[in-house]
Amino acid sequence: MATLQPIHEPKMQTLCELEVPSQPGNELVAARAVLQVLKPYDLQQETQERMLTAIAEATMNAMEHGNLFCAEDPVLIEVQMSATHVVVRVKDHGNIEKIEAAEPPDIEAKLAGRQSPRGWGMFLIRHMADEIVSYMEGDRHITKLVWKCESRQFDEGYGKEPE
Amino acid sequence: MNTPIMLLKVRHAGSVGVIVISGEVTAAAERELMEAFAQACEGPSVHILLNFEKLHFINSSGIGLLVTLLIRARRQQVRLMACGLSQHYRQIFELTRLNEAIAVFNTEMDALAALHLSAA
Repeated sequence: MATLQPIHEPKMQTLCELEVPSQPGNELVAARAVLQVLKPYDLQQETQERMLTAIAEATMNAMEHGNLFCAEDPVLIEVQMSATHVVVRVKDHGNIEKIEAAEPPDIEAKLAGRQSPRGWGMFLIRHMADEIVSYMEGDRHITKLVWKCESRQFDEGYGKEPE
Repeated sequence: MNTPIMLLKVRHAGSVGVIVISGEVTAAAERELMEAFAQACEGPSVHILLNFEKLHFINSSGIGLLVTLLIRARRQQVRLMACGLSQHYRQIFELTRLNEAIAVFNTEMDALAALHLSAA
């Protein structure tokens, strides 16, 4: 009879927590800061580019729709890593229903004037991250972005069961 | 507020107005991009080539600006083309289906050669 083995999810190691004022332009500063933190782990260039786009978009959404560009209400960004995943949580004071209700962009509708030319943010995030989850925690709206990755530089012993 | 860095250069190559885009294309780039487009449309230009070889970053607002350019180009019966996109931004053009409305080439030389071939 086969024995079921317990599944051990790798523990996440918190690499950094950032705080950025909710002002346009800071989304790219924040995304580049996250990549700088991840630099020692030598992630694939393609993964880094997808992360830059998604984190900048999620931070812009948090600043604009969550914190209404109130500079005194910063966006919080938490970066965690395991041997197999990178998780970035972007935290604001937004309303989850308002963000989820956004209409999916359609180029033909935009060219025909039926949709605004803008509105590509969530679309890009969904395509650039391997997983995206949006949820509330207390009064905070959190966008959790996940990427699968392999880093030879990450301490592989971290979070594993001792042999 | 951090000021996004973007530089635009406009030149003409026959019937093609070339806009060389350097740096970051975000919402802050709107005025400059629209002015560059108007400048590129001056004269005999019936094609506008957006050269992205020196692009560092484009976000969702920048994609929105390209859609706006596309709408203006169609109204003026001008054809938009793009070249010099990195693999990452080429993928974004495909995901957003911008590549169905804007002809994408590897290099400026490829784009200009394609126009000469189609004119011949």
